[in-house]
Formats: sequence, structure tokens, C-alpha cells
Amino acid sequence: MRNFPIGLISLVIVSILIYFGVAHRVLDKLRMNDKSALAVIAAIIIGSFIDIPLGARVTINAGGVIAVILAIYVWLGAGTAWEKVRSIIAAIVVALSLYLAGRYLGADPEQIFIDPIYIYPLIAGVVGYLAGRSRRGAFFAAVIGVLSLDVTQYVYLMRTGLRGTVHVGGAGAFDSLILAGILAVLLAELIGESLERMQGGPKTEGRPPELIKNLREPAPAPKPLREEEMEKRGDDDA
Amino acid sequence: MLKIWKCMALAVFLLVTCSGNTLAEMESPFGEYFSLVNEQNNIVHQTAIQVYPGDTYIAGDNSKYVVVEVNGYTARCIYQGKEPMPTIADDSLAQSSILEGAIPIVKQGSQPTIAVYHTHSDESYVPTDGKESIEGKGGIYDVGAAFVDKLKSMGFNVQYNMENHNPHDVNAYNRSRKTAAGLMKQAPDAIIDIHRDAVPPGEYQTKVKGQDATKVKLVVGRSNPNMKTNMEFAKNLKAAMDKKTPGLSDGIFMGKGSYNQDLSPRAMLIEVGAHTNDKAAAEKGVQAFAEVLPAVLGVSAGATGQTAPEAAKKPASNQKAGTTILIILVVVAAVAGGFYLVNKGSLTK
Repeated sequence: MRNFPIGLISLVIVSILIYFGVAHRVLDKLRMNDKSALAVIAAIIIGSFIDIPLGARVTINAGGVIAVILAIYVWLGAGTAWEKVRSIIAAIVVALSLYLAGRYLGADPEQIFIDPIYIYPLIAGVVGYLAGRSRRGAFFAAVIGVLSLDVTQYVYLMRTGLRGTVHVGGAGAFDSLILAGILAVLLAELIGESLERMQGGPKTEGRPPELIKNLREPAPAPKPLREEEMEKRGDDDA
Repeated sequence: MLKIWKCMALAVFLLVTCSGNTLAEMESPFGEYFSLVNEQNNIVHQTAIQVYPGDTYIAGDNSKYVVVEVNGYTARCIYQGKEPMPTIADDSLAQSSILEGAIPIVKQGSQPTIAVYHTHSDESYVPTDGKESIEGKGGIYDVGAAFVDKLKSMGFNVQYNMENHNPHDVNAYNRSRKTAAGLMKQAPDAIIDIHRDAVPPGEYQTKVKGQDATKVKLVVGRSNPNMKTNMEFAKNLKAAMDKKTPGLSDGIFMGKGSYNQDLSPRAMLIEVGAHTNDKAAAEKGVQAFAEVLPAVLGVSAGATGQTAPEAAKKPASNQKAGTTILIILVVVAAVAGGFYLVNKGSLTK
């Protein structure tokens, strides 16, 4: 890249900034605060450069592992036990769908209506949302579902005895694993929010007051009081 | 609750079985290939890549065709006129011809890196390898090795990843993505995924310096945000091939798919001959292709001063990169705006 003209360098930088910007927003949506979201992204970026060999045929990428740990963390934070069960079922369904897609769809990307790297999040996003009805469900289903592809690859290599290594999360921050997780959450957001708006807004009946408070648009911050008003208020208090 | 499960079952059914059935019909069995025909019913190109309306093909003579209709294995195209091609200055290409590899062609101190890998590890050449597919160790690796040796002899730093990405299924690109991303850590000037096509031999047969060789086709994926910059790179490669070795280029095909080209604005997929061609000819073709890289990447020893090809090419590259950045920003803004609108609204009772 030393010989790239300035335009190409800018393009690479802008693409990476936007990608991580979107990733940050997605982590926000998974109920993470700004600082921990930034920390997770930094860890994934640094982790992308670390490959840990795990036996002769398996290598895991630290960036990919962080995404898997994040998926489990997000799953542990699911609202109810039922949501957790649904998320696991969604992950299994996604894994099965991806396996079948690989087995029966065409051998080349152009044989499918959409490129495979977008199919994973599409399946994971739709199934994850329908099953978990949550962004967390979609994220968990997408990450674990795509992870299962590496497991089937390991089984294939073992069965056929062919040379080759399984690189779990090998593309680090740009692995299909993380890409699928991010796009699945955005898709779940789009489906979920659109459905709610179509029915005129989220239902409030029978929901906990705290949730309803969070669903409301935040009221504008009050204007700072002037000095004389402060004093007046002080007088009243006295 | 029952409703949710019904919805989910229906979605999975539609996604997997329904699309699977229709797409399975579209999958061309091995040995079948698509013929692109023009308005006069003349075949302008043959390819094993699945063709869709909207795909574009720039032929060897720079004639541009857009696919408008696909019936079975015949794709009807409309001629769009000649595609304007970038101008490649003579000096750097001439330099590489004169030196003939005796002295490194690459400019001293520029340390350009080329990354090479194969998504389809099984692809082979029937006349030489005996069959069209050898799991995990196809003849394509010999073609890759010929390319790599040639690049090294010219003074390039080469990162050749020989990982096996089989089985040859739709997830192969998911696996090779890990390889490509790993190679990107070396900050290569170009990253090349070497394939072979699956059409009759005539499509790719040519002569290089009087010897049998195969042509080289460039493939650009249109489901990829770097599409414009990749296309600009492809056009520069083709223009350089046409100038240095006329007849070497089998044109540029722009089809569906991403082919990991979102990872770099200088990522390229090349088809070196077909399974029906001789492997030695393919090796000859890919070596001739290697010879144009120094001039296209602007690292040629002959490229000096204002007449250097990179000096002429950079504004075009910068312009395409600028357009791509603008498109990405507009798409992000539109999506962000959309999300803002769906998130805005009142609560219902």
C-alpha cells in the first residue's frame, strides 16, 4: 500500500472509520455504554493481529474470539430465560440454514441472488429477530451460526484427510462472523422498529414503567437558571 | 407465541427450501457455460460464471456489452459502444521488454508487495492434470507458482498463501476471506485471487511471443463497495496488457458477487484459461500478465518524471476513489436518516 495514490489511501481510511463507526453504534444498541463499546472495538482491532494456533489443524483469531465472547455475554444479558432459549434455537436454525445454503446453493457467489457474505447476516438477522424478537437474539444467532461453518469445515477436513487449516474468526474485524453480527442487529432494528412504527409506536400497556420511560423520546434539557432566579429559589427554600 | 413460531418456520422454509429449489435449477452443471450474444446473434463471450441481466462485459477490443436477458445458457447483450480506456505510457512497458527479466524491473526502494491466493483450491486443467478438479491441490497451484516466480524475478515482494479453501461450495469465499484479510496485514499493493474458467478451449487460446498461451480475464464483483476503484484497476491492467501483449486480455467481466474485493481497492480476480486448456499455456499466460504489473502499479523502473504512467493514472484513481467515498457517505447518511425516521415517533396506548 506504500505505492497507493492519496485517493486510495483516503478511501481505505474512510471505509475503515465508517465500518467501526457502525460497529460502535451496533454495540450501543446492544445496551453497552460508549466506553465499553469502544474498548470492545479496540480489543477486536488489536485481536485481529493475533492468531493463536490450537493444534495442527485449527487456528483461532483473537479478534474473532472476542466477538464470540461478546455474543455469549450479550446472550447472558437476555431479558428472560425464554428469550435465551429462543436465541439458542435461532442460532441452531441459522447454522442449519447456512449449512444447507452451502450444500445446495450454487458453488459460486454469482449463482445466488446475493453475495454469501450478505446471506449470512440476512438469514441470521431474520431468523434471529423472529426467534428472539430482540437485537441480542439476532446478534447471538448470527455470530454463533457463522461460527458453526468453521466447525463443519473442521469435520470436512478430518473426514476427507485433505490438507488445510480451520481459521476460526480468521479475518479478525472483517470476518464474516463479525460482519454477520453487525448486519443482523441493523436488520433486526429495521424490522423491529418498522413494525412498531407501523402499528403506531411501541405498546405501553402492561409494560414496566422503567421500560416505557426509556422508550419515550428524551425531553429537551432544561434551560440553565439565571442568577436572580437561583437566588429567588434559594429564598423560597429558606 | 404460536404466531411467532409459525412466522419463523415460514421464514426459514422460504429462505432455505424455496430459494434453494429455484437456485438449484439455476446452478449450471459442470461442463455447461453461458454464451453472451449480441444483437446479431454472434457469440461475443463464453463464461462459466453465472450471468444475470445487468452484468457487463468489456471485450478484448474494448466493446462494452450489457446483459439484458438470460434464457437458459444464452445471455442477450446490448452493445454500448467502445469503453474509454486509460492511457498507458510507453516507457515503463518498453523498459520491461528490453530488460526481459535480466535486471529487476521494479523500481529500487519501492518495495511493492503482491499478495496471491486461490479461493478454489481444486481447479485443474484436464489436458495436463487429467481431470478438472483435484480436491485441495488442483493444478491452479502450479499456475500460481509460475506467477509468483515471475513476480519475484522482477523484484516484487510476494506473499503467496497456499491455503486449501475446499470444498468448492458457496462458503469457499467465506474461508478465503480469512486468507485475504490475513494477506492484507502485509499492506500489499495488489491482492490477486487466481482461478481458471470452465469453457471450451477456444475462448482462451492465444500466442505470446510465438508460444502457446492462454488469455487472462479480469473479474470485478458488483456487490462490493470498492467496485468503482476495482474497475479502474481492471481497466488499467487491461490497457497495459493490450499495449504490451496484444491478444493476452480476455476482457473484463463485471458480475454479481463481492469476491472479497471489498477488502482492497486493488483486489482482482483473474481467470487464467479454462479447464480445457493446457496448464503450460496457462503458466505462460499468467507470466505475461505479471509483466504488466510494475507499470500499472506505478513501481516500474522505467517510470520516471511526468511521462510516467502512474503520474497520468493517479488523478483517475483519485477521482474514482473520491466518487467511491462520496457514494459510501451518501449511503451511510441515507441509512442513518432512515433509522432516525423509524426510531422517531410516539408511543401507543
